[in-house]
Amino acid sequence: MKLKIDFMAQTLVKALAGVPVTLEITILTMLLSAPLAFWMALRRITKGNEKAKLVRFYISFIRGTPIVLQILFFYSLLPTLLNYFFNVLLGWDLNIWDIDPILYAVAVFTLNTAAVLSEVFRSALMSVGAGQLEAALASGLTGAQAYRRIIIPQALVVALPNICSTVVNVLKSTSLAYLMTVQDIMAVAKKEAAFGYNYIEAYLVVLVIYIALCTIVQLIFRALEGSLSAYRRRLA
Amino acid sequence: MLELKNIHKSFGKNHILKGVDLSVNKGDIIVILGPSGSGKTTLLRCINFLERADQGEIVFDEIRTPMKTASRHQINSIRKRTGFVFQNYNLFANKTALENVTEGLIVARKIPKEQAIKTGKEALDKVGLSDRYDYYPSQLSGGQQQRVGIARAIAADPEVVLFDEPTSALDPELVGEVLQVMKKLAKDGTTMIVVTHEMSFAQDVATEVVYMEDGVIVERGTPRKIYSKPEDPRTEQFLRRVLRKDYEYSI
Ligand SMILES: Nc1ncnc2c1ncn2[C@@H]1O[C@H](COP(=O)(O)OP(=O)(O)OP(=O)(O)O)[C@@H](O)[C@H]1O
Ligand SMILES: [Mg+2]
Repeated sequence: MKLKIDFMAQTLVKALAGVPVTLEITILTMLLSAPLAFWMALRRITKGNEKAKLVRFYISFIRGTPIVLQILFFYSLLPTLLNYFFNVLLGWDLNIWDIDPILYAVAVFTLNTAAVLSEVFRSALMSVGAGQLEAALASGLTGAQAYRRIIIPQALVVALPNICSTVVNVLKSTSLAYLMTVQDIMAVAKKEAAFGYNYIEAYLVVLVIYIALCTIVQLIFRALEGSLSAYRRRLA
Repeated sequence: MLELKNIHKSFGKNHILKGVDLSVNKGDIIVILGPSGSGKTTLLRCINFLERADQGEIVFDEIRTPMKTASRHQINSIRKRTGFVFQNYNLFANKTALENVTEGLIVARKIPKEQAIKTGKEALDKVGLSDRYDYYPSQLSGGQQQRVGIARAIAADPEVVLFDEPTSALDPELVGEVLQVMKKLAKDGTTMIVVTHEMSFAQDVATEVVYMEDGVIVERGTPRKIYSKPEDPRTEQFLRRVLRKDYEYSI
């Protein structure tokens, strides 16, 4: 077997054009799901919260279904729902079917990631002892101040490795966005490959791009972890 | 100055505090003794609203606060007038010694940063940690951590400082340094309520010793009275048990 190097170079250049799309979906997904996840984690941590059950149901629903199914399901469901809500209920005249598929992708991945991330946040928040909150309250801080200044900074350090895997997972999952006609790295490569049946070459290129992206993410998180966890280190 | 009236607290079906009254005057050093499970920690936590009492009233300089229904605002104002020293120190792990002390000053009391740092350093100097301002809790010994805990509790110059067994999590050789700091505070006129098993502290500095058992105050009096002729047989029995070892040294 002989790899077509020229073709690979061409595909690389073209697939690289898909990188911004992949990153955009990943970053938007993380930014949107983080506050949602945090809200859900708090609902589950605070005692006697009625919404905890609802949140738990949602999380098991997401965890118990394959992401491909979620994508196909929500991608069929969302436009219909949006159409019904805006055009039928509110009587607006939005062209739902013209919405950029990237937005659908972000919506679906956010729904998924929020559930995963909320478990990451919950376990991290629970790893910070109750004594930290009590000491903050005794110092006169309000609950919100205690969370912002004492508990979240400590929980974040604990959560970072899992947040990192979540980001990496989202990044990889975005390769499924082609199912929603999004022109990301994967979609571009598939299209190129289909021309001359150069699938192996095309996939090899995609593989290399994803490895590079994921490595960069991991390096960023490692640096972040090093700087945020300074307080845990003992002096030599 | 501070008065607690008829405090009740249950955890589920367990009635832990069964009507506790306590009155504290400025400069008082009240030591609370009692067997494990008698509700000493629960009492201190109720005063600071870390636990919500089911019944009772706290009167702070004529301001009456019903403990069960106290508003967030009332709770916060009581917390700002008290300091709390925890058994397990509970220092903010992500903050240096100095930041532990200044956090409440800057964030809760809105004291300008420079002034808070000055006050914080003074508090740390007072507990003998002038050379540890920038150390994180993980870089300090247990005794040093507890002294930071004390500095944090006294920095805002609260009217009462509550101590919950401040030395019982410490290695024996570290107990002395913490007790010494507490004795110094006592001499400076700090009002304190101290739960402790350190009999020497109670005997040397307490203005009043309170014996608690089973959620009620059984007996109270000067240390001299409580230690030499306790009136209640339960007090006597408890003291005999805990002092058995100490007697060998003191007599
Ligand atoms: N959050 C809680 N939930 C349920 N029960 C509790 C809780 N906190 C304390 N208790 C119970 O209340 C009782 C009194 O506890 P407390 O900690 O006040 O005792 P203590 O006098 O401080 O004892 P020790 O000397 O061992 O510290 C114990 O029986 C304990 O099991
Ligand atoms: Mg206790």
